[in-house]
Amino acid sequence: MIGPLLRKTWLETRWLLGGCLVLMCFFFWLRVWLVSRLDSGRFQQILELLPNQIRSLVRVDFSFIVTHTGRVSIGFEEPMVVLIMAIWCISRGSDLVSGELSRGTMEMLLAQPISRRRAFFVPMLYALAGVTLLAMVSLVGTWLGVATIQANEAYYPSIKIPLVGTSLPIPFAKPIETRVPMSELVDWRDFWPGAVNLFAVGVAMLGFATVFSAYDRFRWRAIGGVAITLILMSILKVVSMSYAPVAWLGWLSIFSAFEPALFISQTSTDPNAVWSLYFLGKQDVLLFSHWTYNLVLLGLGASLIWHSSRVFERRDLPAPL
Amino acid sequence: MASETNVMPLIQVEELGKVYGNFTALDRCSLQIHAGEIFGLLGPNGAGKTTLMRCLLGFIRPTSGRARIGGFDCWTQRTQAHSLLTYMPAQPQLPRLMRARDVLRFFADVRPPMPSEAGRESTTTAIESTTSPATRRFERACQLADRLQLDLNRWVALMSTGMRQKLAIAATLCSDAPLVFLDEPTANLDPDVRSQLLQELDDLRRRGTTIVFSSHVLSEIEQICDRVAVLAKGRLVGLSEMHRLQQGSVITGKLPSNTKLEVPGERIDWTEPGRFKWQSYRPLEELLPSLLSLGVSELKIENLGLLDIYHQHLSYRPPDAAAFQLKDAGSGQ
Repeated sequence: MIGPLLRKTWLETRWLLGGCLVLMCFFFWLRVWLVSRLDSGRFQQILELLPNQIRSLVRVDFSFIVTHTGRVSIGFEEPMVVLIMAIWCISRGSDLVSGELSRGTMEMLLAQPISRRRAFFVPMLYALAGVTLLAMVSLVGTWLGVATIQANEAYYPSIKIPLVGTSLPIPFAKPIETRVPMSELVDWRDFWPGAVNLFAVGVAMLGFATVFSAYDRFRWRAIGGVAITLILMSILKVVSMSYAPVAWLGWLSIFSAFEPALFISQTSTDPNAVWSLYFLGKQDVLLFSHWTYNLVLLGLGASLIWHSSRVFERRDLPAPL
Repeated sequence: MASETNVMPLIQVEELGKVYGNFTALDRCSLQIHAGEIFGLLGPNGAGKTTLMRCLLGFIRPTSGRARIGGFDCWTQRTQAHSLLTYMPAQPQLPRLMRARDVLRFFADVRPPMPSEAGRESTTTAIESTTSPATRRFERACQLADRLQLDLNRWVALMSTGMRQKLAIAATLCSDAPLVFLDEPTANLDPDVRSQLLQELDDLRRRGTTIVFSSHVLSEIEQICDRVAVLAKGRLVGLSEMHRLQQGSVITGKLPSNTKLEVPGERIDWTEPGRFKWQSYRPLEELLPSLLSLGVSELKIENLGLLDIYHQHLSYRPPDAAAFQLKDAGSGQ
């Protein structure tokens, strides 16, 4: 019975899933292409122009951001990436109960010998598979970009100092522009913590969408509810980061645990941060690793999904209007 | 004991009630439906027909009482109960982003094999046994869709309401479930397809399938149902066998003054002194001698149609519903 349910879900959502995957892949390829257009020196000059208020919103070291890896990693935090993931999670989560109810398709489905738990969890597994694929495609897009794009790099001609055996750049000379394969500047495997973090925040968003869906009979209301919740949480994160006295507001937002660039920088610079739940950072400060944040997001998402399934199993199913 | 098992009703509803806040959608409804019956549900909009069906289907939890299908509680054991039934709602909605063929494939595949199908599989010929019950259901659905002149390559989203109704009929009736719930199944169908559907239901009846049928079209109920229940304001106000209802008659006449006519459990209206209108389900051969002995004149006897009975039930609601319940000779209630 799982097979037919999966097939039905696939037939209903293949275009949405395909569209999201293509868009996500293209966006990451595009991100690598954009990074390749601007050499590191020029990017550093742009960063130095940023006011301190803006700088306080970036948790990653600027020394990491100016690198090619750092700039590609910022792509995981782009609103477009979060939006694509949110579109998938909200559409699938809201469809699970309230979507089927408001369309009226739930009745004939549940009149079959399918338990409500199964009718809930099979499409949920499919939605989770979609979240996994979207996270994986972010790596695929990055890999494609790294494998196919060459970066513009400018360097100053240098003179070799005899006897010392070293070279010194000539700052007043005209920089030499060269094309370097991105694969020489960036290793796509460095970005896996970003993809894992994207997956975790996707699960949390799916959990919220499912809760709204499980309680409601109208899909538009479930979509509105979860969209407002996610927007509020985004605002809470920005407010908590920009104004220290209300930093605690960050605990109310799932996006406080969504820091893919930070996690990529930690794992690529500190081997202790790769697999442990916490590690000692600079000045021996104890820091939580990306796994801790991901586990919080995954735990929250799983609890919300479980709660939604319980609500769905016990609730009355109203007749479609 | 064996005979008791044989007559165990397929559907048992005991004091079933459903209350939404201050609104009573279903009020202590009790009935039994036996295997092989075609059972009609009648009543105006909001009478509780759909609520009763949805309670039986396990879509809503009853506030009081209980309902069982094949011995399975309709709420706590609904998945087991669903293995015995199939259902078509009043306005069937099917996945719009699928083709009709895929929809039929889904409904054929999603059911586990019925015990009867599993048994049949072992006794079929070698060629037949190579096809699974799901494949047989799918083939049956395709044949039915073909008889209903349905294009299976069309997307559901591009289908008219009537075509979707036909598709839902094919998806519903392809299963070998022993119990079929149909909520106003002919609402959007043209006359040809409507008669085709009634023919299909007749075939199902011959195969021993139990059908619970809700409709506002009294002629359909009259045509195919064995028993009929009338609901009004959430209460079961009438329950009887169809042939018994069809025996009903309206007797009008004039009685000499000082002559009284009182029959327990029957309704007699006095239009003017001495003139009466009596709706009775008793055999005429039993009534006529008694009436004639009372000296009745201007006697007129007409058949009672289902519409009259329907109106009669809806207008007459005694405080004690049990006193009103029509005697049901066949079910032993």
